[in-house]
Amino acid sequence: MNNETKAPRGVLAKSMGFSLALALLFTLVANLLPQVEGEAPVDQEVDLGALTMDSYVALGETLFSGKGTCALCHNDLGRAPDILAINMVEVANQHLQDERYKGSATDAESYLHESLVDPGIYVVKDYGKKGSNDTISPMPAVDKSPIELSEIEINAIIAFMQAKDGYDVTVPLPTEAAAAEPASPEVQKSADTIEAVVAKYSCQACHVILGSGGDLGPALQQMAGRFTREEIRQGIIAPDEVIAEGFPPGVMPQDLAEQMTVKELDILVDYLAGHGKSAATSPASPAATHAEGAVDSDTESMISSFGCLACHVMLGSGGKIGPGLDDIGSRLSAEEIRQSIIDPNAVIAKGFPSGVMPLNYSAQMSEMQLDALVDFLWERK
Amino acid sequence: MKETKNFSPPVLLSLLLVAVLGFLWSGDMVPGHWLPGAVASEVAAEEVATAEGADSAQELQLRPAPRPGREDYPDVGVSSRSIVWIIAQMHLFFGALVLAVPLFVLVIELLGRSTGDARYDDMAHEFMKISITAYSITALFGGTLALALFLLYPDLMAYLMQAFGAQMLVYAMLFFMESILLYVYYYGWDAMRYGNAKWVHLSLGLLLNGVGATLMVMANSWATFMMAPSGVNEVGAVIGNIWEVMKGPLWNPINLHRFIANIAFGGAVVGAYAAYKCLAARTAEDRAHYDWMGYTSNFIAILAFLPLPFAGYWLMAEIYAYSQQMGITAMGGILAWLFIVQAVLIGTILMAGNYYLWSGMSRTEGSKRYQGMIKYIAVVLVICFLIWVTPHTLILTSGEIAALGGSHHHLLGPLGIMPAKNIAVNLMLIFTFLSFQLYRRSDKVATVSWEKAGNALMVAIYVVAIVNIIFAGVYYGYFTNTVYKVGASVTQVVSTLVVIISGVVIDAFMYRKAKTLPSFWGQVSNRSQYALFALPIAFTWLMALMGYVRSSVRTHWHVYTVMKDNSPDNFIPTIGYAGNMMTIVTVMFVLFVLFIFWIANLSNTKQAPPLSVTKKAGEAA
Repeated sequence: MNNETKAPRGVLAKSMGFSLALALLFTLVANLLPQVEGEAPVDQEVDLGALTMDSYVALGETLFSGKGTCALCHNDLGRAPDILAINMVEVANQHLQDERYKGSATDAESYLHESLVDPGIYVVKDYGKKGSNDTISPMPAVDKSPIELSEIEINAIIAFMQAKDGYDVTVPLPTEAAAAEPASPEVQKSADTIEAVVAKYSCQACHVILGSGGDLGPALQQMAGRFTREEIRQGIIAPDEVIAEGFPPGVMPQDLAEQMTVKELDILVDYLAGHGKSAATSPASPAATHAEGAVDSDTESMISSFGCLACHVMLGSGGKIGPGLDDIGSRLSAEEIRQSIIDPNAVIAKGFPSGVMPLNYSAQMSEMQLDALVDFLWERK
Repeated sequence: MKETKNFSPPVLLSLLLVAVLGFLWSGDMVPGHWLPGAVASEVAAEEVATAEGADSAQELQLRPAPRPGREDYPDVGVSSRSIVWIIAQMHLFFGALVLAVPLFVLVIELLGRSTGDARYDDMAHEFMKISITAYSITALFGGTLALALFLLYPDLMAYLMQAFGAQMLVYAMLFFMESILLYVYYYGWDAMRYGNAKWVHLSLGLLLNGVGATLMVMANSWATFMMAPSGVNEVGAVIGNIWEVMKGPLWNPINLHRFIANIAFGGAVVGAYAAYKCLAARTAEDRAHYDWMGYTSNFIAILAFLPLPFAGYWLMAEIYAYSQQMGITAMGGILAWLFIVQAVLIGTILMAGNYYLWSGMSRTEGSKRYQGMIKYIAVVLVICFLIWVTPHTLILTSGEIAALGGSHHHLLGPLGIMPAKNIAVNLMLIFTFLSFQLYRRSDKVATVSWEKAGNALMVAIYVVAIVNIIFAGVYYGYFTNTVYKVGASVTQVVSTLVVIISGVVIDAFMYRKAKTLPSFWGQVSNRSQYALFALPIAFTWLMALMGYVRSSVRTHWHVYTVMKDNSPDNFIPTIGYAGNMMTIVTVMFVLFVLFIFWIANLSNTKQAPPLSVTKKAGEAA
């Protein structure tokens, strides 16, 4: 029995036509919606010579909804405090009085700056990351990826937040000098000996290595038998992952591996693991080690070799463990500066812990070096 | 003999891919400009100076991510992004198809083995026929994609090679293994059809799916690394091992989402094949066979589709946990409007799936018991669909805004936010399951003594779940803090899952020894078959759309936060432009699928011998 009939006509055309029509319907819907392009953020060209406070505030407003992506969360949908609807200066002052506040800001401007670059310092109630009990902020630091605002741009946003509610703007107008600051750290020549690496990264500021150094961190001697190369490498790349007993976490810079070249990291790891050799046949005395380098270099390189920048901000870079040194001359006399180097715990700057700065700098420096350093710092006004 | 032609492209491409990746992995292709100037020259000098391979590997490992300038992107005269967009999407469509089909083919084959019903085995084999041609096309697009990426985005690919290293070689080798297993599984079907040989064949199918799933999760890790890099430091230098690089926070959510979505997509595509064959059938037997095949495909597609939104919830929750900014870019920023298109697409899928089930009820007389409910289900689906597509912010002129008193309508505005949409989506899923349940019951009469109690329990579960979904959505969505809105969706999802799971369990027991009413396969309207065309079109478009959203949340980053996209295409295009691209890839996919269907038919076609040949044969006899 053959029940076969002729194939129905037009099945292919009908099915294709139906499919195409449906796809076009979806396209139509997509084309009926608002057509907006999402441009990649571009750095604003700012004519600093012609910049007025009004235009600086306007720049801040543009950044608020543009490159800063603030408006993405800070709006009326409840994801984050609606900045445009609240008085931010007033709110900043309230938060500064809150017992939960643990930051170092002293006024509204510094609070706003702190909340932009380190949002986790104070998390507004009910706006913390889910499950964190308001201890972790979901907000990214605006000076880091993916937002990457410059200091000038951050200040522009602060100016906008102050001005929108009628307050005087306290952030200064940016200067040409501020704008000329390099966007990324200058790439220095790679150090090629263990002495040069130790000096460049100021390891002796906290650790005993090459026969001398501070006691803020554990001594870096006789590590070969106790740790593998990988463990030593990991200790440099992520120092807080394993903390030596009796030493506090969070002190050693977290970005050492990023600052180092591959060669420098290898030299350091090799040395600590017992595979590398010091350029000197025997450990030199601390003073001699530094004197050799310091005599031939200017004071700035001396500051680098003594590891000041590991804890202090100066000349556009440095850590935040100790107070900034760029205007130290306006705050302290030459004698006070000298005393702070020789006996750092005698007078502690407000807001900074005691017992952090090494006590043996006077032993590491020659008198000539100490004089040069004191003079140099006292001139920083 | 014709089918053996399929063998060469994937295998040759696998070999080629292994060779190319091996060559590239050796480091010869790493461009010098991918590092900041001074460091780049320094590393280059060190590379020359360092002869030992181990040291070179360490140097490579600690390099930061490249920072290409605009001039580092080759200009080929047309948008590089558009080229990669189209090729990648085609590769993903076919990749999804060839990974999904063997999954449910294995289940159907196992079903055929356990029931002894040869129809299952034949249908599974026929599904594989589609998959085998699709595999060749997948390989061709995969090879083209790799070529396009290395040519148009050399820095990005060099960086990914650095991050994933030998994993990419493993991928290429697994691809080779997948090719061999696929061909043995397909061509060995009839040779290993009965007895113990069948178990060998099923084992091959299991192995094939294992390798396929591994390939998928490995490729997924590249995409999720670009969204949420792990195992690297702030500047993108690789500091973790390969496992840490692969296992980013979004890897498993994407793995689950793609695994389920692939099955739904694969079911929809083979459903279209069955619908076409059903409409073009010359005999009642063929029409009945392909009607049954279409029903099975739709069953697979919708069953896989129902849990898909829940996998989507998990993915979005993980995206928010990783970066709230990224989450809001997707759901509340420039990409938010795309979710209105998504609503239209999912609405289309659910409407088409429901329509097909309602039409299919005509196959049996028993369905008359339930047909009265269809209109109510339809009303609920339409209302929910309208709520889902209601935008929060309306597109208005300034005059209209003034007349309205704001950009949000006082009645429709509240329907535009997520709580309302969560209610709508969950109710649509529940009522789709109801359609499915009624369809499954329509050719059966329960014989158990507790039928009334069972039905009462089922109704109670539906009522409680619906009330819970509406209450949780309204209360937590409109009367509490924003933080709880997301939490409310979990309650709603659980309610929906409870309905689905309890419905399947109750029916399994209630209809265990049920009286079966006659079903007449093929006795279904032609219009219902067009619903089976609507499903793959909407699925394909939806896949293109959601892939675009997933990729675009990176905004102007190749690898989020560590490698910027400085190419001329580093902006998010308009929704209209993206929509046009999605239609282009969908239409291209449909054309290639038609080619596959044609090839599948061609292998069954045998030319009648010419008269002269017949005559000679007769004389010889």
